[in-house]
Amino acid sequence: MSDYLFLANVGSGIVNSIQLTNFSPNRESKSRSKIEYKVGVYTQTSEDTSWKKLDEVSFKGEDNIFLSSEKYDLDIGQLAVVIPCRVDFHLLDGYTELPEPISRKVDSSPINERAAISFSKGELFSSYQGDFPYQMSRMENGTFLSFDSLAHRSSKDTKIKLIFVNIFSRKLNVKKRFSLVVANSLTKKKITSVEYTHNSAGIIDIEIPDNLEVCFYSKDALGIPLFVTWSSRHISVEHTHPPSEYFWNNKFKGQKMIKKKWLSQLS
Amino acid sequence: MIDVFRKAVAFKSRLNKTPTSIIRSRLLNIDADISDFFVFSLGEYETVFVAENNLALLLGEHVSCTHKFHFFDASGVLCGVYEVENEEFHYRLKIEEGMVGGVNLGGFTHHVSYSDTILSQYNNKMLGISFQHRGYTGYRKTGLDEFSYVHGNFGAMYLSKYHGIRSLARSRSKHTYTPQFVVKPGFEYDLFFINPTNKKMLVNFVLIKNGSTKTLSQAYLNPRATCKVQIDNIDSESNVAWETSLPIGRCVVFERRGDHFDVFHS
Repeated sequence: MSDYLFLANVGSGIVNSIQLTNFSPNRESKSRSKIEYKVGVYTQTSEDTSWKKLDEVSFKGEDNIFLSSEKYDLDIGQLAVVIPCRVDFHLLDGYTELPEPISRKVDSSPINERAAISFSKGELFSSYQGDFPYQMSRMENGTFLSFDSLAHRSSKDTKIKLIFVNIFSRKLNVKKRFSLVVANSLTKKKITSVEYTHNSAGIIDIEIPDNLEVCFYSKDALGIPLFVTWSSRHISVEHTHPPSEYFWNNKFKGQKMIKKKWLSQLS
Repeated sequence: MIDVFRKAVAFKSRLNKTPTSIIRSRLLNIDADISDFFVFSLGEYETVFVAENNLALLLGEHVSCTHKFHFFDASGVLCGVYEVENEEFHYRLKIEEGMVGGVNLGGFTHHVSYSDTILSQYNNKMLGISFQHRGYTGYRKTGLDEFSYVHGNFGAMYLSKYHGIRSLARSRSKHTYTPQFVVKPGFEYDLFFINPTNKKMLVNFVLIKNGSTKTLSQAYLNPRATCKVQIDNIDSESNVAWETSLPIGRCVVFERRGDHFDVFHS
């Protein structure tokens, strides 16, 4: 399994950056420690169905690569997808279907091949180790359901954004518009929604009263939900687990049951 | 003969990448409530935990449950048990010193139980599935407004009827974990390692700079123990790595500079 990485313009003066190393993230100690690769950076505007190359970055003798959303002229919600690839791989100026990222594993040790994905606002910054799995980017149909575990504010000053990242690496013929919805978890009634497309970030500023239990869903596509919480003195980012992680045995049977129950009741 | 040798090598390779007991988690398909192993840090910090009520989430409605938390001190000894009833989808626990026997650092698990009436009512919906508790742990420096959160990563801890907290996590061959981040001059880092296995575990922690590696510290952790590795006074950007006998040896990282405070898992 291999993974894409991403940068997004999420608005509100927040800058998204990533950091990658050329060290294998996890390996048996007897295996070699480094991997040779470079990254290509591609984007798609809200109207386009093809990918355009923004950048090609190599390690140039260093151990780390840093990329920032500030470097690329992205609209709010626009993604730049980062593709790890072989050093000798010829990256074209454009693609209709994204190249498969290479695996950064050196043996069969279990790990997702991540990057430090950071969000900063002024001097404040926060990061998590994240990725977007290639297998997930191949799925034609999908749904999304998550809950408000990370949508908690400790003061009136606190602001919260849900950033829902979708990458669809297969060829797209048309760019449909999808809905990302916030609903009351008890009544299942819709509170608010925003539109997003394939290969973009749906962004919702979460403004809900304290003690109201809410959920977030999309019946149109799958993606990774990131919650960014910030105030004048602090910023924090983390992603929520997919519903499959609520189960030990039969994870995907459990996920199917939970999504069927909730999505059938959410209008 | 060659075939037997190849099969033995393939089995050993498969075993070495499997973080949990193959017999108990794959063959016996243990039907237990499984929890990750989490870190709490008090005193200079505050810790909260967002606990999931899995049956309520499965059913899409509130269901009464008992959340059970088992706390272990830094040496791995049970130092507190806390139970609370709640029916909401999530319960937010602020960990207090009184719950953990007055210690400032350690690990904890989260399990959920339901009454026999509820279990018999929803038994048909739970056939073939068992719950896992990953949750979200939030930390903040005492006096700051907001918490920084990390989700649960690993642990595979279960509550045995007769033996208390047990683990499906297993030690395997030596693995080296290199997170995708650099430590920076001017910042201080606390890296928290926990041992979910039933055996002692060695953590060998190294700094990587300009192609050379330097061992910064070593720690032996008892089963259920927690240790903190501190990094400061770094003179230039460096990578870090650590060797453990866990197939996935992650840790929780605190990053600080003045009022800046961030938390992430490696």
